[in-house]
Amino acid sequence: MTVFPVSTVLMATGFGLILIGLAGVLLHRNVLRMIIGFGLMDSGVAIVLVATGYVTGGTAPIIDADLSAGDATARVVDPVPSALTVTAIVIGLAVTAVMLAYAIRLYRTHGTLDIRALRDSRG
Amino acid sequence: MRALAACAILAGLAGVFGLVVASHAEPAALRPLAAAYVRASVEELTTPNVITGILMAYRSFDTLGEVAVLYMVAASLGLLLQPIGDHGGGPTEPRLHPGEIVESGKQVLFPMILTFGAYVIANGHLSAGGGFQGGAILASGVMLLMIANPDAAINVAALGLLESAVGVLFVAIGILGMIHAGGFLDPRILPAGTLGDFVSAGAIPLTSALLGIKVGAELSVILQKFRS
Repeated sequence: MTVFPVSTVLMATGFGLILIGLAGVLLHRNVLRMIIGFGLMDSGVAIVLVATGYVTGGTAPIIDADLSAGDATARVVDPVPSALTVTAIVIGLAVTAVMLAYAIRLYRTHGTLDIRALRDSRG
Repeated sequence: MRALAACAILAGLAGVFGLVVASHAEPAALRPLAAAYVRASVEELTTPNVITGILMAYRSFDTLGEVAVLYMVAASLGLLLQPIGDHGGGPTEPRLHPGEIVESGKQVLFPMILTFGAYVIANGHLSAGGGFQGGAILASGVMLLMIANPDAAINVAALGLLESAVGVLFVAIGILGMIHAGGFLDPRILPAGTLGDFVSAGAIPLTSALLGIKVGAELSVILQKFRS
């Protein structure tokens, strides 16, 4: 049996989460379930991003007593995807907040969380 | 029919993802750009935490834009959550009492959460942490306060004022960077200090603290908008 490297396993997990989230968005009509689907996709993208930055045997890119500045480049993981992931998490939170506000508004105007209620107000 | 189309899309996407995973080879060394960041963060910025170096110096313009996104979300929530007709009055039934455990727990935990948030923000250039993470911790403390005291009033106007003032200061530091250092938001306007000292890394601890306060205030405003 082949042994997969850890970043491949992580990447497959992330892509799996994205697919589960997308299935939730496409197959459900309840807005809250769709928002949970978007949240899953968010987490999946973050995991895939971090997985692309992994370097075999690498450690966190923070110079301290255990990691001297000299051999840092040989021992750390790629810091760029990590920084991008911090950004992605914050934006994901912002998007979730706006989606939840729309869900509250849908419930207040239509009295339901079913996305099909919006069909009547088209145009 | 709709479910069939959805399954077809998912299957296609799964195929693409499968190809990506199959062709992924774990690199044994850093890419040249990443290696350059790791070297430059230590040598140019004296910032041991390379991720903070990237977020607060090389990509700090992005960070500023991201804070603007948070601000726009806080503003748009006010618009979206406006009361509409009869349904807009919010919860009519009285709020439930949170209970003795939550209330006592809040009294012990609230100062500790704020202290921990301040610690994470202030040590962002030295160890794992930074403005975003610390700001989120501060907002979690505010959320605990809201759960423990459902009737507690949060002064949104004061938070908004604080947030705006901090934002102006952040941009002012950025413009100082344009005048005295390499460009907008260049942190090398203050002495670099020695690597690993608490007071080091130029203006990064300063901008990090401003960012933490701003993120904490913005998230608190967002929470408060959902509560009311």
